[in-house]
Amino acid sequence: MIRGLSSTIAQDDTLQNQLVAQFERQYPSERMKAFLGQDAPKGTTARAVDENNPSEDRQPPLFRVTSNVTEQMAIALQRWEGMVTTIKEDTFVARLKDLSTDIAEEEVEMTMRDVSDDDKDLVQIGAIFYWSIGYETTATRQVKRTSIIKFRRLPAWSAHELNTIKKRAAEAAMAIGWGAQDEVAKAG
Amino acid sequence: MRQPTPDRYTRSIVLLGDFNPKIYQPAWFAAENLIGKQEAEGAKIGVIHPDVSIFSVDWARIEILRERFLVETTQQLIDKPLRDLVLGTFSILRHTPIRVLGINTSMHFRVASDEIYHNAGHRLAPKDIWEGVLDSPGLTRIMMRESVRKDGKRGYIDVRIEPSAEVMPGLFITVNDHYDCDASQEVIGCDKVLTILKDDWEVATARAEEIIYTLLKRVTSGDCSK
Amino acid sequence: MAGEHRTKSPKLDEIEISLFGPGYGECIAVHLGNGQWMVVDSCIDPKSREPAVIQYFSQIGVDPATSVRLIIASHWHDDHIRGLGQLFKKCTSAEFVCSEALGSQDFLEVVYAQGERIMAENISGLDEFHEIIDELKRRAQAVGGRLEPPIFAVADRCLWQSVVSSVDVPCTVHALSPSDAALLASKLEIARLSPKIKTPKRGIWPSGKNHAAVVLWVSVGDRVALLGSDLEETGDPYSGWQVILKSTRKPQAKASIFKVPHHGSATGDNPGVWKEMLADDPIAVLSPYMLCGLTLPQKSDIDRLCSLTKKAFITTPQKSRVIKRESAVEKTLKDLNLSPKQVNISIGHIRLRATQGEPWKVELLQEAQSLCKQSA
Repeated sequence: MIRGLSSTIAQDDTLQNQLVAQFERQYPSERMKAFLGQDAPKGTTARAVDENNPSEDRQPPLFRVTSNVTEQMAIALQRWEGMVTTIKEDTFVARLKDLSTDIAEEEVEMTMRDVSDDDKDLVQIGAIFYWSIGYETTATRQVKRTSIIKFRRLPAWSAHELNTIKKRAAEAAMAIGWGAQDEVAKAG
Repeated sequence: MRQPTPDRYTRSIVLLGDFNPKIYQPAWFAAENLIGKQEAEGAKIGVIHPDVSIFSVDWARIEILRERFLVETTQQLIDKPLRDLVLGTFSILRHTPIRVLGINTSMHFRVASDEIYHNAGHRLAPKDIWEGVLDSPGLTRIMMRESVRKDGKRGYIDVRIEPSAEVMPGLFITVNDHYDCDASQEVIGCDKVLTILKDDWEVATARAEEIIYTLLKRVTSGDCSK
Repeated sequence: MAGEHRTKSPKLDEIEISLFGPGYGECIAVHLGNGQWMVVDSCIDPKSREPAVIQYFSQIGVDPATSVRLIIASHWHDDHIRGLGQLFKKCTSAEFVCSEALGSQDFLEVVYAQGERIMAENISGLDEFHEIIDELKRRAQAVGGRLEPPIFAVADRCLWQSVVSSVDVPCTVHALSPSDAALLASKLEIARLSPKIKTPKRGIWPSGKNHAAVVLWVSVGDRVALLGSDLEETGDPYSGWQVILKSTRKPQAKASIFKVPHHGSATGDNPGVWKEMLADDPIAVLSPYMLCGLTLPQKSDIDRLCSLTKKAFITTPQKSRVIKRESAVEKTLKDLNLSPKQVNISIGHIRLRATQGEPWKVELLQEAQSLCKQSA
């Protein structure tokens, strides 16, 4: 298994093509297809194949990754969704919605150290994050309490999405006369 | 009252359609801001190949074949980011043909004793009809399907219960929430999938968990009335 | 000063002004005479999770479907519009009024962008506008597509005129804001908030002054109230309170009831309002604000208000609490030194009633209390 890439994530197509070429050399297409052909029945169900007894139903590809995902586990005891409303020097204040009770008038002040390095740039007014507290079972089967803050990542607004929004807004405006101030003023 | 804590938990999103596995690399996801840079740099890569890509980050595993896209997590604390990852990917690649969406929830529960374990099997599949047919029959798997979805969408909900292979004595319960495209189209673009993930995620996941906890309670307590 | 006849509705010629406030949120219900009501803004009762004014109407036997004639969103900040969508749906005879600053396509785009489920419901008040727009569409369809547009409030526009028939006195409701300059500033802010291509998807959270707030002048015969919304003093002669004071078109009478703007803050204060628009020793009412690290009114605000009138009342004391959760969660929060606080704990209701020529009767219900006792 190959862990990670070089320290710089390049948007350079060349690097990504190199990765593909490397694996193609290791697993020529016919060999790969043969292995995948021994996979579980495909195309009929959107059930995850790896369930309860992965070795029973299928021959896993040679390179099946037994990753942290199957070694670690975490169960939530409390979950919030938050929105950043104020940013101070080293802290930020957020409105919280408790996902189990629907109470949306909690507020918390967190420090930037509570946020992962990857997410620090995402701390902006209006940014949404998920905050969960629960129990984590580590790869060595130790159980410990844990808190995770993860900022929501969605792609930027696209032209298609904005056009859809504009269209809906225009239809609503037509339907209810929103913006028909001149008519209202004339009617007194 | 808090629900029982599972020993293992998995949530996955599976899409069936036409995909190009080799483009789904950690670097691509990071470039599109769908995962963090450091997450991408620390990703464990299994393979990146025209026919299959598999890699994992701390909280999710991603596996793409030409006809199947799967993301899964064992961390209930961050299952919404799983949804966001799919939402984000196919907001960008919105012309990807997708036929089917599955939202799957699986849990393994340790039961308190062998007696409760065996009684659970007996509740699900009473043994009296097997008398004289098989010696000491034991339940290995039971699956039930709700064929007509209450939300009016095409698809079904499958629930499977079986002895846990990971926790003993234990039960494994999995819910497959399956959405099909319309019959009038062979494939759909991503819009329908994105709409379901945006609008129905909370309802679907809450329903799956309620199904699992209700069944667990009924088969382990012997109470079928509620 | 607990209310004795809490469940009695006002007499037909009795004006009532009721202010509800749960710590975060504000709502005003006004009886305009003849059994007709106006509701300004909305807030949620923390215990029942229903709009506070709906509960109140139920207690006093008022049917919101027939009796509420105007619903006014004085601005779009979420502490003023929680539950407004639900309220508007119930008040099927009511016209909807909001600031003209919101009458733009940009604002609708902001509302529909929010509808793309960027965040969980009910964190941003824009979900309420979504409901209101859907209800307006439904009503338009129900009358065969005939347009029933909202009324857009702007400075000096008359929003309501009637006569209280039993005593033959006129009843009017006028908007005193927003001014033209404030409208422009608000529209620019909304345009800035509307989503743009290739910008990140985030929740929409208003910042800056409440330019678009609708200040209301309610006059029923000799009973007059100035409802200050959240309008702040901007220091700009063309917006905020200065432009209202300078206006030659503002009503000349003096109000005996003042809903203090912006939760009693210094930025909402203009001494000219007390001098020129309010009677001597008016009754001042306000709701607190506790969020985003800000608590209003502050001690200095309370001292200032109590120096201007001894009859100042607040809907609820400023308190927050930590919700009790299971011990593993609480231990983790303690380890992390994080303390989420709930600010909507209980609700208070200040009820003011008067008939023509009679002094105002003040009732402090639930958590409501005198402001000046707090500062002692």
